[in-house]
Amino acid sequence: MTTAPVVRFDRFTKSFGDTLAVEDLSFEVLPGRIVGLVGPNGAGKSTSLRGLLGLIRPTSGSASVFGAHYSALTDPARRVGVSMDGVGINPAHSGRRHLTVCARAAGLPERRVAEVLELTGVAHAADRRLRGWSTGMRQRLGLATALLGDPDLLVLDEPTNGLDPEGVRWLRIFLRGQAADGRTVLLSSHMLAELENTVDDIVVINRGALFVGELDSLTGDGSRLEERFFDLLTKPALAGAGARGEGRDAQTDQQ
Amino acid sequence: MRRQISSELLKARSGWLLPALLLTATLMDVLSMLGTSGIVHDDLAAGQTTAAAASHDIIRLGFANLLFSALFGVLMVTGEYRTGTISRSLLIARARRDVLAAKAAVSLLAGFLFGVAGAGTGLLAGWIALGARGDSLVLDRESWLICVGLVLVSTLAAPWGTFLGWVIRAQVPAVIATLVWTLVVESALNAWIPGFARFLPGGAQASIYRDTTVDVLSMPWGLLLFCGWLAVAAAVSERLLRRRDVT
Repeated sequence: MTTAPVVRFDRFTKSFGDTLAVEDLSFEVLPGRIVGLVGPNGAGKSTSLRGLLGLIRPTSGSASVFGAHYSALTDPARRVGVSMDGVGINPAHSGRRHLTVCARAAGLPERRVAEVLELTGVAHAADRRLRGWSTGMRQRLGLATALLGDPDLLVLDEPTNGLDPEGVRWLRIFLRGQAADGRTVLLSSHMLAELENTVDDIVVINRGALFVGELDSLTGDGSRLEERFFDLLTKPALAGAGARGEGRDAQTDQQ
Repeated sequence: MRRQISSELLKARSGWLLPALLLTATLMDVLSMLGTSGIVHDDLAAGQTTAAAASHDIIRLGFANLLFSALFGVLMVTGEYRTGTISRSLLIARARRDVLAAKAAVSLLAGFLFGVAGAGTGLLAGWIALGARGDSLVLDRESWLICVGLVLVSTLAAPWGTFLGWVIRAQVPAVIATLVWTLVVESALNAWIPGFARFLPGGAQASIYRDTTVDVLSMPWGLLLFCGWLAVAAAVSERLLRRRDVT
């Protein structure tokens, strides 16, 4: 398996007018890893992910997937699966119709629709209009959409939002299975305790990177991710970084 | 590109937008034709118009469908911005311009339906409304040319609407802008500076459906001019879509 980074942020900076959303963010995601992107509200997590997916243009720096800008991917749905807030659904469509629209656009066989509906546990509601779906079911549909092309990389923004405990557990096992098959997962989340059980690597950001590295190198001393997270936010001098982090504020962690 | 068109076709077939707009357009056509048939009947009785001119006036009222066709195009694009599905469409597509082109292509089909509905309603309602008052619908060469113009103008109005949608993106402002530009701004410019207004999109459209109430170009030149406007709108839309953030 190649060790070339699947995702690379290189001094990625994004401003909206006078508002600086992300500054000098640099990190890489290696294949087969599950990487958690964490930060407080307004830290720039979603902006970074949108930049990675080419939905927004960086003010400076760059973000790439599989060594290229997202727009250079010849068959994006087969390489990158995306589930994120704001990548919406038409509430007048049924779940099946939503997935069929996406499958057609991606040039995928329509049998994949039934497969991902089953896989994500929403097949029973497939023909109901989405306006009647719960948040948790919509989350599962977002994941089903991401999985349509059986992609090498999953980009998930707050995938546990609205999921019940069974759903959260299912997602954790599912993502571990994806990584075991060599796929890569980049997910943002506020649920630090859950992330601790799921990810291999962690990126803590607050506009820029505060920490980039293996989860164990951050919590290896027995501390919880939550404690270390708030330490990083309140005492930026503690910020360190692990493997492949190249941010200005993120040096190699020596723990 | 084919797969993008297939996806857009499925979206267009889903929901009530297309049938609702088609039905509304047809009802408005019928109402305006019924009202106008009374006026032309009086004019005919007074010898102020001919049966042919009266027939042309009635059939031409199907031109109103071009506004509904444009609105369909606008809503087709801005609806995706409203629901956030535009991000998904752009993420799945091989290129942003594929989405733009596929929506324009599918909107042409919908626009054709609006055109056929406008011309068909013009002929049928004209025949019924004039016949009910003892007048007859004259189907001469000009009548058929008007019908062709009605189909053409509504067909082309739909991609025009999609491009307006791409440029404005927000649904309510885009709908308002389309209505105000079509019904107010161009009408006012037509009244004040007709020599200039005939080169605007609405002026070009009027020449396609052979409007006789305003100063217009010939039908072929109007068609060519409107295609030019479409090309400009497509280029502006493509550039903005490529450069603007999708948040």
